[in-house]
Amino acid sequence: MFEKRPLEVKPVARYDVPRYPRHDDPDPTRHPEPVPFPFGAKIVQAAASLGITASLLSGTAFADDAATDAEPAPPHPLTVAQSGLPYTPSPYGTGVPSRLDEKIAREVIDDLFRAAGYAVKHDQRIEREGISFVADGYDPDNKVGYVFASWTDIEGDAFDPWWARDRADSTAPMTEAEAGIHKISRWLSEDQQKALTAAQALEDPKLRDEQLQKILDEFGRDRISMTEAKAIEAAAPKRKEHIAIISQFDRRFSYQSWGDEETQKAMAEAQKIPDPAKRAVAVKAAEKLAARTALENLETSVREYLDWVRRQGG
Amino acid sequence: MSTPPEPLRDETVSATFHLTHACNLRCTYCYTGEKVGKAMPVETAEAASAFVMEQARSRRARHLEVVFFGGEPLLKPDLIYRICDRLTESVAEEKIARRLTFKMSTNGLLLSREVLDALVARGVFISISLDGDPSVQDAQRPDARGRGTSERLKDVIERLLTVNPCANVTCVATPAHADRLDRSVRWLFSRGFRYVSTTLNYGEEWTRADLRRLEGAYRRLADWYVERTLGGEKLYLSCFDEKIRTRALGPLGKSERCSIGTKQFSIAPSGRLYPCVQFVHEDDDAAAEWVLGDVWGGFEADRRSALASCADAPKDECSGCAIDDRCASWCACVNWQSTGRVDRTSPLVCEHERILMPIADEAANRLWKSDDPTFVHKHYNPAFPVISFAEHLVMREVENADVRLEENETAEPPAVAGENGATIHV
Repeated sequence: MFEKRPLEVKPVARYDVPRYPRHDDPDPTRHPEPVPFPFGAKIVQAAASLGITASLLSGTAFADDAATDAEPAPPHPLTVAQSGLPYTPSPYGTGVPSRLDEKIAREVIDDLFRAAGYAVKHDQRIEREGISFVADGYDPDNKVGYVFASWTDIEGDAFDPWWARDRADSTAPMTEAEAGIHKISRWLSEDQQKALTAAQALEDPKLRDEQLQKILDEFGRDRISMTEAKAIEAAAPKRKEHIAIISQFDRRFSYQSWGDEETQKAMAEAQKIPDPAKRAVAVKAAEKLAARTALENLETSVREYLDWVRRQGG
Repeated sequence: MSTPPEPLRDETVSATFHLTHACNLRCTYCYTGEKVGKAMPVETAEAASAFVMEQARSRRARHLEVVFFGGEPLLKPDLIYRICDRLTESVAEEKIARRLTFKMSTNGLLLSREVLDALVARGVFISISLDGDPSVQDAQRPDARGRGTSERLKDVIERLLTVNPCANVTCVATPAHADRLDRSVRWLFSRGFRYVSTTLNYGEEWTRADLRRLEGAYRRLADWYVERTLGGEKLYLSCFDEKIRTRALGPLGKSERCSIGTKQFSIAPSGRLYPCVQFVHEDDDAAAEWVLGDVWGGFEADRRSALASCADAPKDECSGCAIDDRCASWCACVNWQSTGRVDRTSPLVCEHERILMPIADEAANRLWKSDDPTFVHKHYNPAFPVISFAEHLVMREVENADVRLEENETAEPPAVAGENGATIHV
C-alpha cells in the first residue's frame, strides 16, 4: 500500500545535525591539530628519492602556506585561538555534541590550580583599560586565573549566532547597537527586557541607540568577548597576568553521549533498569563515562597551561 | 587618454553549444529528442562564438566556460576545433586575465586517438557518459542499431584515462536498473575512473519501490565509499561529495547557482538560446516556450528575467523544511524535467534528497569519526583538487618511468661489430 502512494514533496521537520564540521567551524585541517596531507605511498617514495619528503609529509604547507609560515606553534593548549570561539549555536538543536557540565569543569580546574599552589577566589571582577569581565577563578596575589566560558560568560564577538547572520543579510540596515541587541536579546534578564522594550519605543533614533548601547554595556559588563580575551592574552607578558579562557564549546572538551562502544553499552544497560531512580543514577554514570575523555583533555590542558605559567614566572 | 578597463567580476558565464541533434547512440533516457541530422552551421557557430564573448564582456566575467554538447558533439569535431580556436584567439586579443575553459560531454565511441589528441591540444576537458556495469551500459545506451556499446568502449576508456587520469564519467540511474548503481560505480572505479558523477533519469516515472531499490544501492555504495576513502583513495563520487559539500563548504549561495538562463545558457544548432540543456530538446515549435532569444539578436531580457525570477522564487511547498538549504530543489531544470514546471519542487527530487542526504551524512560522520585525513583535506582544504590532480600526473609519470625502466632492463643489449667482423653484445 505504502509503495503505491505517489511521490510527494514533504518538508523534513527534524534532521539530526551531522557530526562532521560545518563551513564555519574552526578549520579541521588545523584544529585541534594540523592534519598532514594524505599523499599516496608511491608519491612519498618518489619524493623521498628527491629529498623532499619532509615538506610533503607536513602537508599543512599546502593547506595554507602563508599561515603556516607566519604562525608559531601555540605555547600551551589554552590560547584564545584554540578555544573554539567564536561559537556558532546550532539552529537545529539536535545532534549537537554534549558540553561539560560547568560545575564539574570548574571543580576540576579549581583543584588543579590549588594543586599548583594558587589560592583561587571565585567570581573576581577584572577591569583593565576598557576590559571588564568576571573571572570564574582568580588568584590576585599571583595574578593567575581562568574563565570557564559558557553561555552565561560570553558576549559580543565571542559568539556568532545564525539568527544574527540571517538578519545581517536583510535589506533593512541596523545600527551597531541594534545589531548587538539582536544578537543577545534572547539572553537578557527580565529587567533588561523591560529596558529594551522601553528603548525600542523611543522615537528619537539617537536616544534609542544610546539606550540600546547602555543595555549592551550592562549585559556585557560581567561577560567576556573575543576582543577582551585576546587583549588579556596579548598583555600577559607585560602585565605578568595570566587568565586562561577555557571555552565550554571547545571541541576537545566536548563529547557525544552516544560516543564509543563502551559508553553505548553502558547506556543501553542503564536504559534497561526498571526502577526509575536507579535508572537515572545509571544513566548519569554512563554520561560521565562518555565525558571521561573530555574531562581528561581538560585536565591535561589545564596542567600544561599551569606549567607554562610557571615557566613565565607566574 | 584611454580609460582603463573595468575590473573583472568573480563570475562565470557558461555557454553550452549544441553542435548537432544527431547521435550515434539511442540511450533509453535521452532528453535531447529525435536524433535528426540538424547540425549547427559554421556561420551560426561563428555568430555564437562572438555572442558568448560579448556575454562574458558585458557581465565582466572572469571566467568563460564553453561546453560542447549534442546529440553527440564528436560527430562535428571540426566545428569543435574551430570554435575552440576562435574563442582562444578572441580571449588572447583582449589582453586581460579572463579565463577560458572548454568542456565536452561525449558518449566516447568516436574518441579516436587523433580526435583525443586534437582536443587535448586545445585544452578540452572531456567528460564521458557511461552507465558502468556492461550489462547496464548495453541495456541503457545501445547504438542506433540497438547493439550494446560496452565492448567498444574498453579501448576508449584506457585511452582517455591515459591522457587524463582525472577524467570525469557520468552515470545515469534509471528505475529499471536502480539497484545496480553501486555495481556500476564500482565497475567504473575498477577501470580507473576516480571522478564519477551520478544522476537520475528525472524524466522517467519512479515509484516508491524503485526508490527503495535505489536506496539500497546508495547504502551499499556508501559502505564502499567509506572503505575506499579510509584506504587512502582520493575519489570523487558526486552523489555523496556534493551533499557533504553543502555542509562542509556551505550551501550553494544564489550567486553560485547557475541562475537559469542568466549565467548559464544553451545555444541550439539553429542559434536559438535556451535556459539549459534540458530545454533544447528538438528545438522546434514545441520548445518555443523556452526560447530566450538567439545569437544574432541576443537575449529577450524580459523573458529571461521572468524565467529566472520564477525559478528562483521560494517554494511554498518547501517551507519549514530542515534541509531546505542543502537540497537540490533549487535546480529548475530537474524540477521541470519531472514536473513540467520550473517553479515547483519535483516530488521525485524531494524524495530522492530525503533518501540521499542522511546516507551521505552518515558516511561523512564515519569518516570524520575515524579522523580520516583524506576526508578532512578533500572537504576542507581548498587546494585539494589541485594537489590531487598533480599527484595523479606525477604518479602517471612515475609509473611510466617504471615501465620504461623495466623495458630497458629486459631488452636485448645492443650489438656492436667487433674486430674481425664478429658481433659483440655489449
